[in-house]
Amino acid sequence: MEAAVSPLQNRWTLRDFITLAIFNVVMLIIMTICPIFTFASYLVVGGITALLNAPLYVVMSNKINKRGVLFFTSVITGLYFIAYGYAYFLLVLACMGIVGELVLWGKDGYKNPVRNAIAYALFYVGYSLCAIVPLIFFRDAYIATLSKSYSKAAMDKMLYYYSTPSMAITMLAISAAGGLLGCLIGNVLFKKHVKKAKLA
Amino acid sequence: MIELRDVTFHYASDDGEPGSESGVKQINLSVKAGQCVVLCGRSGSGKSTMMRLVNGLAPGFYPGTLSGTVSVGGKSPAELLPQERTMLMGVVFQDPRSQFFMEKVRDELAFSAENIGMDPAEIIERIESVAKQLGVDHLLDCSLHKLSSGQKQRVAIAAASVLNPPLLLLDEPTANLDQSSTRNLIEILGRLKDNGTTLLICEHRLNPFLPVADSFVCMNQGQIARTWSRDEFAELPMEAVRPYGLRHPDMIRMGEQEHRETVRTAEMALEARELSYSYRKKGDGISNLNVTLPKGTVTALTGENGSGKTTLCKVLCGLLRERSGAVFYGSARYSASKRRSASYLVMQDADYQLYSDSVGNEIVMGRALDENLRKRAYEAMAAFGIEGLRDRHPASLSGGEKQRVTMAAAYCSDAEWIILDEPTSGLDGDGVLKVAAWVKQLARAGKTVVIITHDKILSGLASDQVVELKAAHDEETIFTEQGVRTVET
Amino acid sequence: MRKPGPKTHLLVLLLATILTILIKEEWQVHMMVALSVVYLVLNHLSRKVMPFILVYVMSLVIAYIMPQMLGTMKLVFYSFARMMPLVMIGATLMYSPPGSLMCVLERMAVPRPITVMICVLLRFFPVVIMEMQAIRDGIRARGIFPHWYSALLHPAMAYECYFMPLVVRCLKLSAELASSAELRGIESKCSRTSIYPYHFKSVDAVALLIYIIAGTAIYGGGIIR
Repeated sequence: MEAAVSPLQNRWTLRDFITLAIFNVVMLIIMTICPIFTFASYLVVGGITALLNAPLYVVMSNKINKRGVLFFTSVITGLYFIAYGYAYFLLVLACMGIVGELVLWGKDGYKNPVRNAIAYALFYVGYSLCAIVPLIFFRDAYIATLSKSYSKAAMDKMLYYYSTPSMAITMLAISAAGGLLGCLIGNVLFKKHVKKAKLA
Repeated sequence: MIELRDVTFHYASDDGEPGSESGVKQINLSVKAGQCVVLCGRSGSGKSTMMRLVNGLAPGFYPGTLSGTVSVGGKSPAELLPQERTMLMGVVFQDPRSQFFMEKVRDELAFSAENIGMDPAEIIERIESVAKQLGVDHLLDCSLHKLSSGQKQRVAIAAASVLNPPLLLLDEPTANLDQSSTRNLIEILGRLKDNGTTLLICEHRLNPFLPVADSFVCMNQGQIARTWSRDEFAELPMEAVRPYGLRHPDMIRMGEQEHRETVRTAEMALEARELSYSYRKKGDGISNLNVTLPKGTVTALTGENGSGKTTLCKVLCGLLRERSGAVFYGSARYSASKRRSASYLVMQDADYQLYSDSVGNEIVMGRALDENLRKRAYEAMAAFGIEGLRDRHPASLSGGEKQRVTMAAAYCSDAEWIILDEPTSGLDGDGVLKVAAWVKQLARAGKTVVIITHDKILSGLASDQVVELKAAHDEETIFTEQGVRTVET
Repeated sequence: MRKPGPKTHLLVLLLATILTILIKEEWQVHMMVALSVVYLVLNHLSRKVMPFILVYVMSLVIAYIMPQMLGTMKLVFYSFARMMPLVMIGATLMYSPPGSLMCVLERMAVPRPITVMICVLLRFFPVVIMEMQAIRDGIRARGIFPHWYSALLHPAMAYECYFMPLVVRCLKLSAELASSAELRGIESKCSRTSIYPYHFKSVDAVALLIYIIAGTAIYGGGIIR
């Protein structure tokens, strides 16, 4: 029970799973509330959510400190969105989760703040990607319906407003920045509070 | 049924539970089948550790070193398979919020049985019979979060009894219950005991358990200090139990020795006139309430669960805006936001109100630090005995210390009235006396203090007047030195 | 009448996803929403129908009246409306009893830890919301932010005030839940049962059939036009 040899160290206990679940509930609630408050600018939703959730993620990953935290987080987030009908989130986020895990490979990856931040930022890039997919997908369908009521010249002018690549890249960049900044703040809060109180 | 021989247990390292639990030394305890044993003792004396040893969570879930033998039903609980352990013992925790897994009562009762793969038809049958036995059959299709604390406690016991385990472990079951719910609980435990179930209960409020307990085991500093049979315990005078920090009904008389001033009609009083509030969803609340709370006094607010005590306090604190009626302080009417800055609510669970990274910062939180404030802060820390904890992180303190910090912050604040919500719910005898002393200190400092409490000892020791709220009629009974005056609204 | 089980919900969700990808016309989306309404009613969730329809109509309206300049925002509302049929079916999943959902998932060879996490997710969503409200009450009760706008002036401090209690409560909740779960046999290797029927019953077959037929009709209608 106490040996903490490497094969045992990476084995998840029930307590780890439940800690993960509870922290994820909080993060998912924040993820759900954020778009409502920042509807003004769709661009920054990903970034702000990443910022607010980062300190919680930092505490959770340091408390559990076993390989797979990010992966399971992405799986749970993906499963949550299935309930909203967005089934494809699961695939994209799971892949991002795996990529993130690779970044954090090795002993105590989670304790290394820089690598943790990068992996977390990657996760939120994946999240924003998911948000963009329906836009790209439905864009063609929407334009098809519009083309019935507008002339070609007007359509060409309007297409400018519907072009998504630059917007997409901006969104991804903001999400990544939000993730990195959030982890920075998260680490500060973690040291100031959680470590000092010896909770994790 | 339960046999502990020469058991010594030390926790390995702190695993996030700071300062509270100590290990146990040289424990020898034997509980026969069908008996009911109540574990008592100060907080931190090792009661919870004993419970964990019996249910097998120590040394597995709580790492540590164990020596000696623990045997429950002939086997060592830590080595049982999960399904064997679930069939052997049912466990009821103190906090209903964190032990329910399901939304509906029926699903909750089925949970343990579903986990071990029992046949569905059998599960359904057992649910019906347990629900009937414990009086929750009319609640089977209700949602868990709509139930009262007494009902939740009954559902928890039912859920633990579905598999008919021979042993039932309860951790402070009466902590959140009012008097009638406590009586209900004792009756249910009596029924279970008649069925042959062995009961092991960890508690601070011991007197209600006299009808059902066979013996009382008192722990002190990790060891068993005394064991009393039911009759012996009933006869015990207060002096015999004080050294162990236990509660005793006679404690209430300790307050009578002090010189009791009559309730001053101070110049300033917090008054609620025809105050009403009702919740949109549930429709309950308070209506047409008139209450006078003089400055510098302590008022105890009692009443059954659901009679509106918390609602009244939330309105007084400005957390809820009144639907009709008004709150006056002196002669000035206070609006909700003004009430918020003039009041301070100390919640039952101190964890909700500790934000800072050191006790010192916590006490002065939110205000500019000048010489005056610094002096007040030191005064507050001295009054509650926490100078030594000044640089500690609040989350690393024990429960009692956290409570002292929130009270010191209340003392130091600019608030005119302070409301404490169930300050003694999980405390032992020493804790109750301390809270009574601190509350009186707050009143001496000129604050108006209101305590919401079920604890008769606390209200008897510390309060200058008692206001009782009754549900549905919202009648008000004010006990003064002169006698009982019933005010009907 | 019994409701369809979670297995049916998952299958219907799969079908609906495929259909959403395939359809092109406006009226088809409307038909899909109507179909989802039927499905919700079958699941005894008629009370939830109105809010969904309201949101659907509003999203479409906003998508239409928005000026062309905010093209991307129009797209956002439009895609939101398009996903509505799926969201409604997802709701049936969320409102099914967690125990039966766990049982179905386990039979699909989803590992026990994940089913436990899903159960915790479903069950603790409202609990965590209440905790956050209690934390907010605690902050207000201490009078730290006297006016409603004070929190906006000190956002960092406001966040920090939420942070510590939230973390402490979460850690405590998870420790208590985990010990409760362990004592209630969650770790047992036995395969889980459920008091709700998990095999395919006639109700499931009927619901599935209705969906397949109606869905094909919608798709076919689009091709014919």
